[in-house]
Amino acid sequence: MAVDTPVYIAGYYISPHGVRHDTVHDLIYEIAKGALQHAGLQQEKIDALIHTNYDWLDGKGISSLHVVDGLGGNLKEESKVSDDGIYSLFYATLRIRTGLARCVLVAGYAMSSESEPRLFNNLAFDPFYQRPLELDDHIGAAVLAEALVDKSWRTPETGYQLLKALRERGAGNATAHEKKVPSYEEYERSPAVAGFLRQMDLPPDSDGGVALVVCTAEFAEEHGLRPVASIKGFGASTHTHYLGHRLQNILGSFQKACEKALASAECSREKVDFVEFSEPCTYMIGPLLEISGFSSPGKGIEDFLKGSLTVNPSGGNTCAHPTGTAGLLRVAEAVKRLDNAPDGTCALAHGWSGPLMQLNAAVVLEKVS
Amino acid sequence: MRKVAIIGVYQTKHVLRRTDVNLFGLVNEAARGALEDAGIEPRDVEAVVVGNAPETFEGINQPEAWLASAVFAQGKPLFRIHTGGTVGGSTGIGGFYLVASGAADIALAVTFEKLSEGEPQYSLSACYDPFWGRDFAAGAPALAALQATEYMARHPSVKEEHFDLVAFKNRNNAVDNPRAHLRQKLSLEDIRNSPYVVSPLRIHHCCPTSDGAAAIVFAEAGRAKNLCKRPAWIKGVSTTAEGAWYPGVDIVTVKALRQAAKKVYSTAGITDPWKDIDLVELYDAFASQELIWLEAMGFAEDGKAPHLIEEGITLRDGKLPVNVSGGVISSNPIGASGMIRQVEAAQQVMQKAGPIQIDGVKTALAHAWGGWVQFHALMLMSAEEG
Repeated sequence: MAVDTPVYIAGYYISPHGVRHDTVHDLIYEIAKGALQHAGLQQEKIDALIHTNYDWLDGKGISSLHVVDGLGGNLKEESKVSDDGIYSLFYATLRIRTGLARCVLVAGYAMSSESEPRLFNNLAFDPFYQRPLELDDHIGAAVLAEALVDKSWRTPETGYQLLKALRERGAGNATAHEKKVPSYEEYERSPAVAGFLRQMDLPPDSDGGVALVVCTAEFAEEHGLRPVASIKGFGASTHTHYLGHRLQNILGSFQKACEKALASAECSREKVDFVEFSEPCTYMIGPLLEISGFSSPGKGIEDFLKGSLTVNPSGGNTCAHPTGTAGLLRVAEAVKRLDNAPDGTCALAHGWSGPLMQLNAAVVLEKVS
Repeated sequence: MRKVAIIGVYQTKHVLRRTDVNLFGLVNEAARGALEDAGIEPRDVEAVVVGNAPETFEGINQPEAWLASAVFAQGKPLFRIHTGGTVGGSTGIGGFYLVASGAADIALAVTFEKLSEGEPQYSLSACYDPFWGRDFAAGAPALAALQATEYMARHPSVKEEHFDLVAFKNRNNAVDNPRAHLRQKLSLEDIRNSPYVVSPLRIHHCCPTSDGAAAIVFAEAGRAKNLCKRPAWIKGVSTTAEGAWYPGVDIVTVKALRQAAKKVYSTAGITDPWKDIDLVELYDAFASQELIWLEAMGFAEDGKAPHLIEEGITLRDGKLPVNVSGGVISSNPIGASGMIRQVEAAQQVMQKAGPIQIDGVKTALAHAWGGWVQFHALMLMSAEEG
């Protein structure tokens, strides 16, 4: 989707991630207030609230019923979009492009610690043929890694190098969940989970949330806001659900989402200064780089470890993973870096949902100087 | 903003339990039906939005993933909207935004529910706050009964007999609608003598639980005119929310719906809904709500809506036909019910409503309700491109 009506991100907030001991209401109020304060905007000025969370994690049907107040959506245009928060950003962008909204608060959150993510993740698989196999997101990550990571890379040494690189990034990220860089011995002792993946290769189940203030240029100017980044392009695509149907190109929808985002932004890969991928496990950084065209086939892990391209400077999902809104967190991390780091003006951020990365969305962001 | 029109619609036959299809088959039937109605192929659809009410109804998490092929979404953007009972309406509005924004020239919106595969009232009780509400949660009828009781207490001229009249109208309208779930011809006595579910609501004042799905094809102006002789042009939309815990929440004088109506009328240039709107399809999950919602939409002053049914104004041959389809109290696959209102309204505007067609309908308003009394979606459509 070409974003020909300029859409700007004028405020953002990322909560600390980890295991929280307050309530979901504390969390949602914190992120909404944080993003509005960062933008310098009062709640009454927003036209719409678009948000994402999982009912299953909240333990409530229609959980949006309970959070509209705290997210600032009282008597506003509102919709809840499932299942990754990056789709909330997509829908907010649609609304702004029509002119029916000029400023939208986009929010996503998860209180993963209050539920059992593996169990509810299993419920996303086809109920007749796949669910009884007890598939979940960890097994899904292992299936993807088994399919896409060359055997020569499937060693504890490589696994540790990938983890160390990501955790070192997380150590420098104040809002990350996992900030500790483990020793090799600690990594070796990490229990096997699925396939060749250990627990430490997989993202944590984080409590946390993120909110963005998205608006038009005119709105920003009228209200004295300082746009941080502009949304230059958006891409989204969907694969088939059944794994047997995906043998030709198991991550075809990821590839298409990235291609669409770049094409609609009229942006070449060379112009992208850094990427924020929503990686299902550390090893998948390599295949994601290759399939999105940032690395040659078979070179993804090597390129990542060499630092040929800045990948997941936030630490990625490996360091903070609020289930259901990890993609929106990747976007927010990219915006934060564009706002603060001196070395980047263009970023690609990615999110996904569904079993084995079935639905993918990518956004190209540009720093507003 | 690009002009957008509805060029194809479909709804399944709503029944207590569809035993011939699973959820995938039910959803696919609606998607295929809408494309056939629009005269297009799956490849013509550029983006898809789906919606259903709580996933706990069918016990399937992220249902759009399993259903992606059923709605022809492979290789396309697909997202799901989830706004409780409003979702049928807000998903249709999502389809509108896909086209109005330029993200797609043709978009498909699909909603569904197969309530026979779960226990809806248990699921609805799980919507209540686990600490403060769930101990006394009793599904949806208790909430609607509270609203109806407050409505009568505030306006003593409102009587249970008015709810009987609304139910009599809508349930008998459904007799002529081949897609409706409950098509039993009822007398006023049948309704008056039916048992209470939660006082003051009797069983014939209440919606059934249905299996069903609906789908709409939206197109930008050029494609709409090429593909459809008489499209239904979208003139205004709103998905307005009110906080459930916000101070001053009023379940009778519903602020969210009032604001939504104000916005839609303003967008469409309507100053007098009586003058400019020919037909209304609203989300009457309970008979009392038809009166409450009509007041909020500006068709009557507070407490005065009963005269609309007393005087026959909302009958199918009245000045403002309301729910000529039979409404939600005759068919309620919850996640689809809001979109069914849009489908019925569009069919009236497109003159494709068959045995329930009302002559001369040019402009129709479709409504959906969800959450506590807090989520309201409105879509106004017209036969005129304007």
